[in-house]
Amino acid sequence: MDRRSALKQAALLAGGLAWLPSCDFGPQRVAVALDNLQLDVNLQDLLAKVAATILPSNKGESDETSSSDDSPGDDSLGSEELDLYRFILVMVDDCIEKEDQQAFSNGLQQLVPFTKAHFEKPFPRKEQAENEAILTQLMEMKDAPAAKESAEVSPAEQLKDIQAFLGITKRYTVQGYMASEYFMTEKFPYKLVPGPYQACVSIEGLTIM
Amino acid sequence: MANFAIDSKDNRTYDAIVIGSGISGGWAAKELCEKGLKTLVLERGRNVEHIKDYPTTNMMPWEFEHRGQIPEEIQQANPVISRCYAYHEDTQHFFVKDTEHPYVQDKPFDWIRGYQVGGKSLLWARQVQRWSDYDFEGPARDGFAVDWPIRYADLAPWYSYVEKFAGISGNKDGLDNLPDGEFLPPMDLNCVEKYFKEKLETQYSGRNLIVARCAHLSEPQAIHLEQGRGQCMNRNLCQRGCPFGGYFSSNSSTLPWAMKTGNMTLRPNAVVQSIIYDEGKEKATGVQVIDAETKESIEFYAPLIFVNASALHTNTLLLNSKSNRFPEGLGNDNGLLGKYVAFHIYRGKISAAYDGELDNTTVGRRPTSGYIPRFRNVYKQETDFLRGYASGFGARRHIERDYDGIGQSLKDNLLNPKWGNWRVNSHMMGETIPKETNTVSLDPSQTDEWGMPLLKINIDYDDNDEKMIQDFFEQFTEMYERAGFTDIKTRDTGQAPGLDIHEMGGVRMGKDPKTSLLNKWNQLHACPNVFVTDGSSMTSTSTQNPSLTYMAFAARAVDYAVQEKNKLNL
Repeated sequence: MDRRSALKQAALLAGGLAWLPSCDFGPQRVAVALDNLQLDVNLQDLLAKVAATILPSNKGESDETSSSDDSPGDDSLGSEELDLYRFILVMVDDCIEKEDQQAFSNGLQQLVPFTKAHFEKPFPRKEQAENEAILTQLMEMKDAPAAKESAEVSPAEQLKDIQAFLGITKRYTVQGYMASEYFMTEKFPYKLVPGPYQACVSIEGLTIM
Repeated sequence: MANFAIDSKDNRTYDAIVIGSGISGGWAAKELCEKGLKTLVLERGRNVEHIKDYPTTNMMPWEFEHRGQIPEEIQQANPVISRCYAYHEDTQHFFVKDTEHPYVQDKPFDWIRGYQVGGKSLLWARQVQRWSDYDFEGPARDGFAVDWPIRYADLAPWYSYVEKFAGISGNKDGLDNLPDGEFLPPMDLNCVEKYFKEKLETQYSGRNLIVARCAHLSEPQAIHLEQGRGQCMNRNLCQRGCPFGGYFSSNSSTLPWAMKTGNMTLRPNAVVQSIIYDEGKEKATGVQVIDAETKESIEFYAPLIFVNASALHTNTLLLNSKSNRFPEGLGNDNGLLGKYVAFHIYRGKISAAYDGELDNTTVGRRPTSGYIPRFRNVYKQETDFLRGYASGFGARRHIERDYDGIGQSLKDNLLNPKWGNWRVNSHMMGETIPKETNTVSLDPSQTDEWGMPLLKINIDYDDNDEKMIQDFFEQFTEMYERAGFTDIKTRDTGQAPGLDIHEMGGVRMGKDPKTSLLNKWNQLHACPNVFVTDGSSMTSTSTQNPSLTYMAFAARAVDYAVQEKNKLNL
């Protein structure tokens, strides 16, 4: 696997910086090496932003006194700390068909220009709520906006790719999250040796695992 | 000339040769070595040593780059193996890739193979239901194939013999269509499975749900500890290779046992091309082998040969063992070698919901499921198709997670799953009728990398199978409805033969050399020092999983062969 060795090199080159939580995607970042997709570091950063919008971080929120309730999601890590964009890239690069890879890649590239052209505010914004609203609107959009004069690709085509991209990204963000070491040790602990099978147990007081 | 001595014929001569190291070859090896025969075990694949060669066995889910999924490029290149239920990122190293070992599909056949020491015994689903007289009497009663030369009583002591050593978890259910065995404590049925069991037994006669018997050490006995095996830990990661030896495999059980006798020589990477027949002596004298890596040709000799190459490969090997005496393949005087191949029907599936038992759930993982023994046409012919089907049955409490939306609400949903209702699932395991037209043969022009002719597979379903699938849907729909299950969904997977991984026959047993290849001791009628005790020897297929029967045949045949050898009859 070329990518695997490349990944290691990238990690070495980037040093600790690339792995810092809540990093600001500074110039030290090195693109994840891919076999099939061609996505430069800026597009990979954009993907990370989309993933972080889909599953935001709440790290530290529970420490703040302003919090009104104590729902279990409150201090949970999100896509950013778990580097889920890397998992998404690996899966899209290796595990989906060429056509879907193309739609993913097109959609990712058209996301910002499309929102610039057709939305009041383009993606990404500073506020999580604004980003969520933009992506939700995109995902739910039934009709594409009317074409502007010099558009090379029709807005309908663009929207189709963007929606495919968002669908794939959401699927792998969710999968990456639920199959992450964090989720499977701290949230729903996975046991390699689970102990005896219990065929009939009352659910009262039992945590779903 | 240091190699001279090693290469001499004497040094390549053994008391017995076993071709194949899978579930039946392992047994042949163990029995021969225990009886004091210097035995050479030939395996075409690489060596796999228990624990040491299970690279993924202790990996956590998140440690797999693709979280278990096989990359698209590999799937595209290997469509057959990619359809196998057990082929994932954690097990792929134990499966043969289509691209590496081609074969010819006259009709679609999904041939699932494991080329390594231990073969598919590392990968099997570990179900070990005995066959009954209803199975061995089938062909004679219903008038197909040819009568088995044995009955259940011939095999019963050998079932007991192999069960005690392998370690079988099961319940004594007292059913005549599924005889009890030598059991370690059974696994449990869960509350919905027990509910369905009760419904079946009160509403029907002869329809039973039991916990399936499986080759797991639910309570290891002295004989298992002596093998170095331990308790099944219910991990359900069996197909990665079990580091506890919790389930039976050649690697953890029979092969190390054979090795301990000091009588076994194991030679991996040895592709057996043919069995050598000596016309003067009128017997087989050895085997022609190609080293898988160096492609070097080498011969090994023994007065006794056990063929356990797996059902279809045993056919290939015998067909390719041509001589003046046997121009159509070893033992093939009647031209039936490679014919009457049969398999199991796994196409029918049915699922439903149950909204009872909502106060209860299960905890942990169970390496087996419920099992409904065949209930159609058992005591008399009652349908318009021959034979019947057994079925797996399992119930699981569903966990509901809402995947809608994005952002904080999505995350909250993922972190706060809710109890759903139970879902039940069943799949059929049907008996196919061995037919002369279901054949395997050697391709006349194409060979593989090792010079072996490619195997051509020409096997298909027939009308009997289609009727049986419909009957499964009808009967189970009715049974589900009567149990109050809702949202019943039937599905015909449409899968090709082969994916059941229960291919059998081609070298069938029988009473008459005119209509069968092997006698009741799994011995070639026409070449009595060659024994075939893998799936190729099956005369018909029953509905039960066949591996346990292969083990019993292998042990029984060795016992007979060694007695005959001592009487100088071989």
